Amino acid sequence: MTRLRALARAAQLSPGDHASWVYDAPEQLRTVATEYFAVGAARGERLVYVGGGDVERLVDHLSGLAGRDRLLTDGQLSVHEVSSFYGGPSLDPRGQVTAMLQLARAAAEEGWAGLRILGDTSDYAADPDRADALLEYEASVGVVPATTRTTAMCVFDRNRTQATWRALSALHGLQHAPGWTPTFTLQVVDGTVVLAGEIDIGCVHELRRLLRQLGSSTSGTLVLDLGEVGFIDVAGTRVLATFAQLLAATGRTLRFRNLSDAARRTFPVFSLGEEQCR
Amino acid sequence: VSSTVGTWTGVKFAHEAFVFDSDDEVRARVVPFVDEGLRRDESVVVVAGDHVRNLLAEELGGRTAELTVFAPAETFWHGGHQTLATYRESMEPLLAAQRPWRLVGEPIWLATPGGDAWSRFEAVANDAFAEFPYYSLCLHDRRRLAPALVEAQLRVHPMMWDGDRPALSAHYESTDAYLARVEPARSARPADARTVRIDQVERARPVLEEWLDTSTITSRTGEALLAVYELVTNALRVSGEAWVDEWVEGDTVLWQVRDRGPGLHDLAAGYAPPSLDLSSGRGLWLARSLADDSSVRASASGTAVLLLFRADEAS
Repeated sequence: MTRLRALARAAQLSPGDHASWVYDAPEQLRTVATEYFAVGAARGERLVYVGGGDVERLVDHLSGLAGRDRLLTDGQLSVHEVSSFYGGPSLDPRGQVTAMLQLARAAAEEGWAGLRILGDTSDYAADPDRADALLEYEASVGVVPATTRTTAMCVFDRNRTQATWRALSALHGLQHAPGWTPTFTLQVVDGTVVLAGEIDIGCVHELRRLLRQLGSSTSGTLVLDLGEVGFIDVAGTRVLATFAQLLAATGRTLRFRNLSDAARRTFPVFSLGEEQCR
Repeated sequence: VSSTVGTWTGVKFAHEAFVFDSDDEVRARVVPFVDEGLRRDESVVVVAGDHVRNLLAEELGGRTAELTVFAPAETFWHGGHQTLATYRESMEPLLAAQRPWRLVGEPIWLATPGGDAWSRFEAVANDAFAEFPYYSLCLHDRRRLAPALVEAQLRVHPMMWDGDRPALSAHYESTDAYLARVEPARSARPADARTVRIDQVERARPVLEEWLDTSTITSRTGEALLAVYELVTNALRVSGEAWVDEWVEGDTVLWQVRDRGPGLHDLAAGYAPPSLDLSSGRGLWLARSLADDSSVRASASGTAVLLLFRADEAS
């Protein structure tokens, strides 16, 4: 699992990374995408650019990418409109994770050094009816870079995605989110929800939203690993206790595993403990 | 009065100190107390040290099976805050049973290091449990306890056993008066104290972490950080700004968090266990439980909470 880090340059990314990048203006997106793909092109990676608007406009975003047209002709680079790439206007989170795994394997079979994808899913994030599906997808798609030679960067337009970009950022171990770098990350690893970083009153809104989404997209017992939580305050612990209560009300169990020292300090305040539900 | 509980009607909290010098006194006071509770169909709970439990087991024989709880006190102490919270939690099934209960409790931890703080929690219990149908008979063995510990117990129990019946204690003090007497004395903040004003919650942890890097507290920095941080977020919530001071006195690091809010005029705030309702405040309770000692002082200009952390050698 990638530990929480702030990301300064898109060129720093390498296989195994699942990063998020929040942008404020289209010019920023052009710069970031160009820099990101230039590294991949030099490495001989398969490059996939997915974004909003028509394909022509997306291709134009990469006008600064050296050898862009040749990359397109050779099939090393492909450009896709977001809803056609993600299977239509509604996103199927699980199906899409499977599709991404297949894409990564196909890139390897075709002899590319890896898969390098940049996805601008602001269209989904901006739509209240589709944002939850995107959150579910982002929480679990980390398995692709974790198990294949894939570099993934998810970009979001801050101006269009309201507060959702904050929750989305927290689903990535590597984040570029100027003005508000999330202090924690939530990732689903082998069916376990792993919380890491620092959880305080400044990010409880995002944590609450992500947990509620997780609660509604899963069934049965949920396991929360807290081994990498370096700080958690009363407000953050209250969110976990409330979530445990919410699940219990529907007959489900929330188990806490691997409590860090920080979690051990606040958990007794809410009578929470390891491997315990209430 | 023939009753072992005086005029207690089983509706509200009664809190009696029973100080004894001999096993015979224990038999004479406690056995009728237990038997009366069983006869009245109350829940009877005994949490006491080995010596008293063995004595009672001998006297009660098979009747110990009728006790709701008959447990050792030896493992009960986890600091005042957590112990009182455990008491509170253990009352849930007793409350649910919807009948009065009586406790024979022997806080043997009074004699252990730091255990003397329990008197403050006994004081706070008078208010926290006031509405419960609960009689607490607290046993204090003069043969084991230093005179000052016994004296403190008489100040925090409204009633005491006079050798014949429960009577009002002449030594009893109000909770605030008692806490003001035993909490750490307030000395003036020295001129070389570090002070910072915080008006944004994001600023709080970086500043505190920087101070802790150069603090004489080295092994409990996580506790100190969390405790002070909780006080700062409380202050920001009530008044939008917080002042944090830090200074050293001997082997103790003192942290003070001040605000200009309406004021916490309850000295006992942060002693009593948080309500079981998840939305209720817990920050002050946690901060005070993490510190070695603490006090809350309110004035017309706001509230100041003082936390003491002893340096590692002494803690």
